[in-house]
Amino acid sequence: MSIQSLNVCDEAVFNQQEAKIALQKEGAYRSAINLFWLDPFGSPTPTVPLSKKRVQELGSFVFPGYKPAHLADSFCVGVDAPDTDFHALKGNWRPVSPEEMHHCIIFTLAAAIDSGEAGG
Amino acid sequence: MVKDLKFCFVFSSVSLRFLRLIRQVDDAGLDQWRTMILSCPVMIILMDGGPDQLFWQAFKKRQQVVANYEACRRTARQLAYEVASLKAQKEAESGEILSVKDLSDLFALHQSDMAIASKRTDMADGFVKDCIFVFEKMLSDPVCNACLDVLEEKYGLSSPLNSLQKMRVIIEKSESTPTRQDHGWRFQP
Repeated sequence: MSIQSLNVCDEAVFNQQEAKIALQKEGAYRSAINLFWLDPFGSPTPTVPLSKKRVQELGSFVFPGYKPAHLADSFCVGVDAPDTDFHALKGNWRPVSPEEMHHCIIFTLAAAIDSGEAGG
Repeated sequence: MVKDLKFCFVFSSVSLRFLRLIRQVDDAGLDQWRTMILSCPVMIILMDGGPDQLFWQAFKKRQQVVANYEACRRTARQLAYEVASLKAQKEAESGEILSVKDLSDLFALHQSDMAIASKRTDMADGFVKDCIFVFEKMLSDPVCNACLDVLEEKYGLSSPLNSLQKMRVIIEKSESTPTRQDHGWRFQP
């Protein structure tokens, strides 16, 4: 069964005030965000060499046939304080989860555009 | 890698609209990518647990992936049960025997878009046949199963018999011994 048209994922839209409250109460907050709010070159361990081929293979598994699909797992972002000004930091959110997932989206999207098969 | 990524990133993010005009990629396809990118699930965590939090949280995140792999990856025996259970289910639905060839085709159909699966040596050509062979000849025997239980408990994924090929060879090499009707002796020291 393939999805004919992709809708937004089922997490609620990011809200700065809710993020603050949740981080104060639970130390964690979940929501849906724009991928480009994350720092695409951010890495918790920048000196560790990465494997481009393995990232591309991950991409071909997560997005079969270069078709867009929702992600099964959340990205994880770390902040130092609940009242972090998230909007001011857009594009620089600091990833904590393995960076390969972020990279594989970018590589797959580029390959999809190159091949003229960006889904649809 | 980083240079490649930068190039890739800049290239793909210059503007999808520009690229659409230049390369004539269709609207519907790009809109779906746009939707996906604009609604990525994220979990924000507070890192107030002392020094080096970024390092240790990131370390933990990767360990979680490894723990999932260790716990969820099928052993050869589990894979054999999994394949056999689909066969049984299909046969119960249709009331007819499902040939190994048809079962293999079914797996090939669903694996065709999984590049990673085709790279796995334990899912190479013929794995469905091996699964059914091992299931019928070895796993149907409670003594053999008990031995495999012990090995899996002790060695996990590194169990010396966590391999369809090895189990198949053991069956083939010992099957011609006419004096023994039970299978459990194969594993006994």
